[in-house]
Amino acid sequence: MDFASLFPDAKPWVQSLATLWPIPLIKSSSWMFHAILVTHLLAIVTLGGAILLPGLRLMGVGMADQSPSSIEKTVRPWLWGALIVLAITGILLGMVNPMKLYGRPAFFVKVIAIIAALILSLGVIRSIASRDGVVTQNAKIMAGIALAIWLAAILIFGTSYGAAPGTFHIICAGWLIVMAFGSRMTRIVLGGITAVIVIGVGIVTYGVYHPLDDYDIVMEINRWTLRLGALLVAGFAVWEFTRKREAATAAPPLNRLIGLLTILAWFTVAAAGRWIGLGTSG
Amino acid sequence: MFHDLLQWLQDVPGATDGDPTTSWSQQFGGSLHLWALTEGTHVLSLMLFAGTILMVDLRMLGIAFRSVPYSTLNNKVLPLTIAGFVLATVTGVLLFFSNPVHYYHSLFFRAKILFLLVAAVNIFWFHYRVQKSMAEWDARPSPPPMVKFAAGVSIASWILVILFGRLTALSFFECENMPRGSFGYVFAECEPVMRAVEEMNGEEAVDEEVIEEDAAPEDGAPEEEAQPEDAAPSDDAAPPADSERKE
Repeated sequence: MDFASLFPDAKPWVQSLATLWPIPLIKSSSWMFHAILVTHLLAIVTLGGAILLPGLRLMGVGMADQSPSSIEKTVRPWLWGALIVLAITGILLGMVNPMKLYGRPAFFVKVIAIIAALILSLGVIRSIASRDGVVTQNAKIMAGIALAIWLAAILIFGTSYGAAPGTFHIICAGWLIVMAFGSRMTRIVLGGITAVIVIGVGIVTYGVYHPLDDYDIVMEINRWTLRLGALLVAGFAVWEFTRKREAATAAPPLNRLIGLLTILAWFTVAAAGRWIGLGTSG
Repeated sequence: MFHDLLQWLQDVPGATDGDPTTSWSQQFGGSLHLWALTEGTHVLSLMLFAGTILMVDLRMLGIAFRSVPYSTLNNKVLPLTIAGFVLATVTGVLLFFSNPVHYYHSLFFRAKILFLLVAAVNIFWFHYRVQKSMAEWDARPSPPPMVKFAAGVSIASWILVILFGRLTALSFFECENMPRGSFGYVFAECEPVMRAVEEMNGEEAVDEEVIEEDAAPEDGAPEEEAQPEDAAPSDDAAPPADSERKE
């Protein structure tokens, strides 16, 4: 699914974007496009810090001895700054080659995931943090909407030819969070299963088959490995972050899930963004 | 200095029947998804690695988390930074392995490594010198100038590492494009690359002569008038839209 198949009549308008100011200026310069791209990348890095700390705090990990409200307030200007720079540089980068974005499923996924991530960061997290952990009814509704939008983005990401491999990054992000903040037993079990899968796929891909000679079989194995990995990580994450904790200071399960969802939603935005360039058209 | 070793690494390990295109390095570089997944992970790991470094540096500059003691923030955030660093290093080494000769002679890659070293020296200097007096400034909203200086060097060097890392993917300032003897040419150790290019061109010229001799008519009939290849306009004449190795 991409914008080209959803809105085919918009093609002339999309094409005309490349002629608007200041795109011809950027195109005629040998360095301007790359300067904007690097600025975009630096803003992504800033965004990383600004979403990780409040997200992890909501999960009850990281800076757990600081109140959620103080962390959210501290990172808020950096989050806004990063979002404004990302919006400006992202629009300019897109307008330089609008037809590429128009036909790429990864760009469609990125736009959908941005909506979910913005609802979570600017709406839900801010609401919960300002009440130091209390989730209001409105916040629950907003989180539910964001979850539905994010799941739709993941579904499109995982089923779009040319973009699907990018879901590996989101599975990896979820895996890392479970491995970093899960219980010891969870780490051992998930780590063991992961090792078996990685070694198994390695043997099957390079020992039993050959990627170039048995392309279709190897691709099918990769697809099923990704699906299995996604289910495995999702299962462990939900179990790990919803189970009852003994510590009195432990964050409530809903807060933990919202913190996790916010981090994963932003990683989906970043991963889909990277796969606009790395992937192919639908 | 390491040109020959890296050329061997790129062409030999894993190669079957001496064919360099079947080596592990070249297979990885030409893989359908594995290279892209590694590159994507490398870029995304920056959110974790550099994103968390930035937050600690902002505290050291007295800009953010002013009410949180430096040690509290650092102790909580450092494990995340280390995890991001490990991820970025492992994927970075794998990406280098996919095209070692190119990266070794890339002006931007060398600049990236240079600023990585600056960042590393800054970390050691801060850890072994500045941090010794941490008890005096740990809880101060605005730390002393030496701490701020270390934070400034850290932010500047990581920005330059990311900048040159991004530029490494582009084909500006390749050895072939730089004047012999220029700073860039010497800095990127271009001599072995150009020697290899010249040897290759020489071999191609010899091959062409042999082909022409083989194709020469034996009965002495006049040859057809040669058509210079570049005489006809070609669609390929347009400059490449994107100078990246891969999109």
